[in-house]
Amino acid sequence: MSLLRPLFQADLAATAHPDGAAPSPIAPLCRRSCILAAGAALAILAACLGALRRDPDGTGRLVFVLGALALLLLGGAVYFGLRVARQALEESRRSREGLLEAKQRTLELAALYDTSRDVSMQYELSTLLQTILERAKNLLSAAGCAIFLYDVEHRDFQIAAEVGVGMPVGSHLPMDRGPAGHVARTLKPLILKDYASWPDRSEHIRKLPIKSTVLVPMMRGGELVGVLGVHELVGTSREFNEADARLLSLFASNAASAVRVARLLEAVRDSEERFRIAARCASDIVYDWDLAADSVVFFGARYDQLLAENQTVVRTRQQFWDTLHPDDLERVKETFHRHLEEGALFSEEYRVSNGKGGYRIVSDRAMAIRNARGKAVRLIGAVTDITERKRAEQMKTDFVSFVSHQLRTPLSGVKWMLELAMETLDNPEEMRSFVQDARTSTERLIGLVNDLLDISRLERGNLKVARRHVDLSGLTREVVAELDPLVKDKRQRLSVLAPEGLPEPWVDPQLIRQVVLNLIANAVKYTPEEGEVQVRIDAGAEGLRWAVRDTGIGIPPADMRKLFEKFYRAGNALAVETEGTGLGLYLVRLIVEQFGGKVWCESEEGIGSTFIFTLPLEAKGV
Amino acid sequence: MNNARILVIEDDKFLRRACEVSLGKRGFTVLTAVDGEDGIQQALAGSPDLILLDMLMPKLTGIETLEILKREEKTRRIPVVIFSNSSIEADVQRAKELGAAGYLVKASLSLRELGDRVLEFLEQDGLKPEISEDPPR
Repeated sequence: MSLLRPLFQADLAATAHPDGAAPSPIAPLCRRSCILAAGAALAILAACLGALRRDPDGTGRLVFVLGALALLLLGGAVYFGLRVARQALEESRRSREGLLEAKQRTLELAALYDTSRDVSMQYELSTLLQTILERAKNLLSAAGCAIFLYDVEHRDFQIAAEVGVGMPVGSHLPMDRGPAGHVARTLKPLILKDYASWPDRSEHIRKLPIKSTVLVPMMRGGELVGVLGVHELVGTSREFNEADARLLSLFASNAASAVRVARLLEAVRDSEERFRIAARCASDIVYDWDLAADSVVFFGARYDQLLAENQTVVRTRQQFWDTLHPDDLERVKETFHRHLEEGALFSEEYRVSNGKGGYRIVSDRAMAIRNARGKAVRLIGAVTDITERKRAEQMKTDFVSFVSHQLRTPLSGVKWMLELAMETLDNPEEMRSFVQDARTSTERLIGLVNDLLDISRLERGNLKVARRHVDLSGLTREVVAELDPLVKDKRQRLSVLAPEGLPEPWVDPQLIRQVVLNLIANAVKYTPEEGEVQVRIDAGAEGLRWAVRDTGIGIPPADMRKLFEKFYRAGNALAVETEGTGLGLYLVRLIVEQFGGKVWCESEEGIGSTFIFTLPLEAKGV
Repeated sequence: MNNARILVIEDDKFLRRACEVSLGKRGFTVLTAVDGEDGIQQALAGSPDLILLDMLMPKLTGIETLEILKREEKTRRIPVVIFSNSSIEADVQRAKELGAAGYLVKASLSLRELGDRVLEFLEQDGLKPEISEDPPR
């Protein structure tokens, strides 16, 4: 179409001066006909007058009458001839004007087409508005242009974009005032030949140097999208006319469509962005499963913990099924298909491969999007990694069952020993040994309950801690003295090495006493008869350092790491002693950590172990 | 006299002693083991008529020990009664699947009841050991 434009323009240029460049052929023909007719009339008149003079009564009179008749006929012919000629001339002028107008319209439509096409190719709102501005301005060859978009929320106009006069873009205009408001109320174009004298100007644009303006509604589907205004500046004589308004209206309706599409796309992009942010903030993986295309798109912040490094992963349905734990697959598939058919919320917990040979436990909740016939077309869901929660629940269950087992064991011991004692009343010596065992079991039970209580308080952080400066060497020597009978029993050597004047840590003496007792008692317990146990205390960079070294059975490397965990017992501990609860070292760790220290062990199986703990000295006042 | 041989696999020394004394007084020959490994050794060497097997033990758990006992040609026909203070449903189920003859919870039994149950298990197993008319009290 735009190729046609130069052609038309050449044509229009040629018809720009119709009188000079293309004279009508009818006019000279008329002129020549008139001259011929006038000549003939003179000849007839002369012949008639001559005949009348020669014979005034007879033939001459007849000839004169005939001549007069001929003259009349000639005059009539000339008259009608001239009228026809004039009509023909008029006709010709009118058809030329029609052609001209048609050509002008075609040109305008061509411009409109180009303009609208450019506009409809813009999907980004701000770029689109700029394009509309430039195009509308050029369409009417004007100085400025502005777009006032209707703001549904505020029920007013916003100056969305402008070029040429410096309107305050972004500011709002009321609906009940100003030219844009007028157009919005009437939904008709408005031409103002002298803007300055129009009484209803709005505040914002009152002082702008606008001379004349044309404003048209931007309508789409009976809905007002905005108002498009084109203007000339003060100092020009250009006045807009009906044709300008008509052309701008056509363009405005196309522009309105484009704006609506761009706004919808913007809303979609916004919504998608919000969705992504929400998915990212919730520690979830969100997925969008296109059932027809058979592709699942996963995205979310914690995806990497589950399956892959990527933020977004696309899988086919089969690929997804392949990541599920085989034991969960059938159940999940069944729920999935039932959901697609019946439509209740899909909610399942299952295991999914982490890609490294392990599985994570997830909770998956989803809803299908259905088409008009109720068929599920997409499935939108959120997956939450509940592995840690499940692990904690399992630990709780394990703890309860372990503790109940640990409590039942000494209780059974007490019960059975007393039962045996009852049966041996006739044998005081044997009876005494059963009662003694019952007592020992009772003490174990009390110790176990106390340890559990301390652990529970330390874990919850509400153990009452009474800190003071503690002489760790003195405390250690007291404990050693307490254990003396046991040490003597096993003919072991137990020594304490500590320099004089060691700094005193700021700790709870009762709790630290428990640490020292547990560690030395362990050393004695797991060191064979005639072995050696040595405690060494000194001050170092990390504060006070307390270590007990034994010549015991040592600890297998595999067990070292887990040694300080709750209920853990080294595999070879049982070979020597079978009454451990698996709580002692865990309690030691909790207490030492409570005072900001560290505890660890160094060991070689068969040679011995060293258990070390440190206590910071700057902990005073903490 | 009842001369059935009972192997008690129990890590707690007090419970082990109580079972040993009590079942011994009932006339059984009692073998004891301190953990699963020890228990398997004793089962292979001592050919017991019945095994009482604790569940929660270090080294080999009761379930692991049971698996081995049921795999070994020499021990797989010996009835094994799980003898535990743990009553975890999954363990009970697994023990049954592995062919345990029964499941006893220590804390809910007196030693006398334990002896009675041991006799019942032996009868069920068709050994029908010679039982003294008046078991010692």
